[in-house]
Amino acid sequence: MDGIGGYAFVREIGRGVHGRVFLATPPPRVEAPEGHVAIKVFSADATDEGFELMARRLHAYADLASSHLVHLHETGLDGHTAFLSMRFEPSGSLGGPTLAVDRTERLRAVARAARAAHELHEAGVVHRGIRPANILLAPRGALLAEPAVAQVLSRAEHLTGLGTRGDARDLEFVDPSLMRGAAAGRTSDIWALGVTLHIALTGFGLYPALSSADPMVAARMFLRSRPEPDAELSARERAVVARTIDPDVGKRYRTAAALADDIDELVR
Amino acid sequence: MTAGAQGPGPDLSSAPPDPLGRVEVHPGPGLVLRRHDMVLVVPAVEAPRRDLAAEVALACTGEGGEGGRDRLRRLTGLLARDTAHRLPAFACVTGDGDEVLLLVHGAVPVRVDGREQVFSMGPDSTGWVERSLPATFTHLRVGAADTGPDDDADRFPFELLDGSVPGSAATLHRPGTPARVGGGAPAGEEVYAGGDPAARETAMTVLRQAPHLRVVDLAPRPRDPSRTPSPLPIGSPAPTGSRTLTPPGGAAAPGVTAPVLVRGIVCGCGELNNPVADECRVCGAALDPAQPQVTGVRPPLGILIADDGRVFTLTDDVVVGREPGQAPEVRDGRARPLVLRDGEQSTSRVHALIRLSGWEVEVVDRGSANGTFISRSGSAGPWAQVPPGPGTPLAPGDRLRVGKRQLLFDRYRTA
Repeated sequence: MDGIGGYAFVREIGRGVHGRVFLATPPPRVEAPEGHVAIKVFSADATDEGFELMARRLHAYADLASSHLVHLHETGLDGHTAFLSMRFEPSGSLGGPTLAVDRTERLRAVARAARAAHELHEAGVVHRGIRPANILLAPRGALLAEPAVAQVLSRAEHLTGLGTRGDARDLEFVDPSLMRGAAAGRTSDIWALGVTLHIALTGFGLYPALSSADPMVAARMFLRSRPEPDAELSARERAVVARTIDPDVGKRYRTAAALADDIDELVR
Repeated sequence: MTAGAQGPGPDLSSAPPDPLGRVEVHPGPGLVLRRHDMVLVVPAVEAPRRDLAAEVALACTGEGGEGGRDRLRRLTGLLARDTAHRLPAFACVTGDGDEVLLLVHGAVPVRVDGREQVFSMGPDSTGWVERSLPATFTHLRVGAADTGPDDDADRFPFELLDGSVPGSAATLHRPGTPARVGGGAPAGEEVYAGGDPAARETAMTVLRQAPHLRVVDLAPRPRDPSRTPSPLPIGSPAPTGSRTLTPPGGAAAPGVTAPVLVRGIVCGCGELNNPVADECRVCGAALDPAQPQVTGVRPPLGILIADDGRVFTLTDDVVVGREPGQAPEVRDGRARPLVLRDGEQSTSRVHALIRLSGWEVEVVDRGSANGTFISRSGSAGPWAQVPPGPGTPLAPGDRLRVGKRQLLFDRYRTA
């Protein structure tokens, strides 16, 4: 594959469970002052119906025109392959920064992601994919990437954040209450922000054992354990993390904005 | 790609006779398409008629018989339709034993050894002409060449072996007639370049319907009250109940089945439970079996974890296999597909069904080639084959072996 929908790929810059991301030269219809864009090419075959649903979600994100969100150019369907082009952010993500980032920068990035999540929630959008790799580091401040949309593309099969390559560590970003059938909403995004915050503070997640186990064992452990914030954290840090992952969702932060305020306090 | 772009041509001196011989293309705004025994010329393809030109090409090359008469039959079928008057002019030449069959629709001139054949019709005529010609000619030109009759200068210096190229006309040279310039031969040297199957394989152009490109501009739209969304509710979200084979937190994909209602008892924590359960499936509190039963939306009955790490909440029947979309219950929307494949096709297309029956989850082998096996030890084995017939109930922790792949059934508990 050397291009799609008129875009010419320059090189692959990322590979996720739902597809691949390329640096690309856009076709003339796309205004990209930087000359290049990032384009995500989804691996699942898309139906027309699924594509329209995805485009609606992406519109809801893009219409916010928020300084906390990535600038999206367009989404398209080339045959059965869906793609999404957006501004290329060369500084990497919180999950894979191209330059070292210190604690303050990491916490500021998570706080901005929480504000971005709040803006989405106020617009009726659940993100469903918050994790360090989806918090992009831009010089003007971190940006929360587009919400998880790959699972609506195809009727054939729903994919989880784990994807077929089976990295069980991704499981911890999934609010366990969703496994009982709760609907995704503010509190499930707040859970994912809390796990992300814990990683930003400590360098590891809330279920360290997940990384060593095979996916089925890891999932069983995840289903049976109750996470605790790392004992090395300060009391204030522990309190903030604990309020994002409380098993009683009624005791969690009510909004992501309230979480963002508390993270900003941790920076001071 | 054509022979000319493939480098030196093979030695074709012993090539078998070709029904149509050597085909050379005259440049132009239309389409020249060749298969072994068939040449289609659409001298001009105007933008509004591109789809129709593609239909003509697909009728020549598509399903339903490869013989020359099959191709012509498909074309006449197309010409008999109501839309025939919109079809672009075209001519199709195909071999049939000692004869060459010719079908001409619209104004396409045909010259045989320099003599114009008179069966051209008006440009928007819906009629067509079919002729057979004895295969004794030396040159047969289909379509008009810009530079006058029999002028070779305007032809591309290579022959079309197979596939399609832009062009306005084609000249067929009967087998045995010398070529002007060979595929990669030194200029001026004449080589015989009949249709050789091996050469055709290396020189194939492939015609297919161009993929349809849809693009949605995501530039922020002006505010529109009709699509102003409501903020998400604050506080604990309501359980979704039975919906789909849904990834945790995932959105429902198109084609969602209806919720299933069951009788159950409600725990103090508010969760609906199986009326025969001793303790709440969510909080673990003891349940009073004497309390009144209520009807409610069935909650997810558990979780399926694939050996590659995918996790699904189990809210509907699931068909597992290499191509579970082929199962009738998946096509009808009564079950969700879960694709499990490996490199050795150890899983059958439709291998097993995981069925939700009331509050129970059971597995049914769907006549798979390698069988479905169950391990109740909490680890991978010992394995017992799932017997044919009615479903085998699953308990939390049971593993299933489907070909060389595995699935784990489990439940979530806040403990």
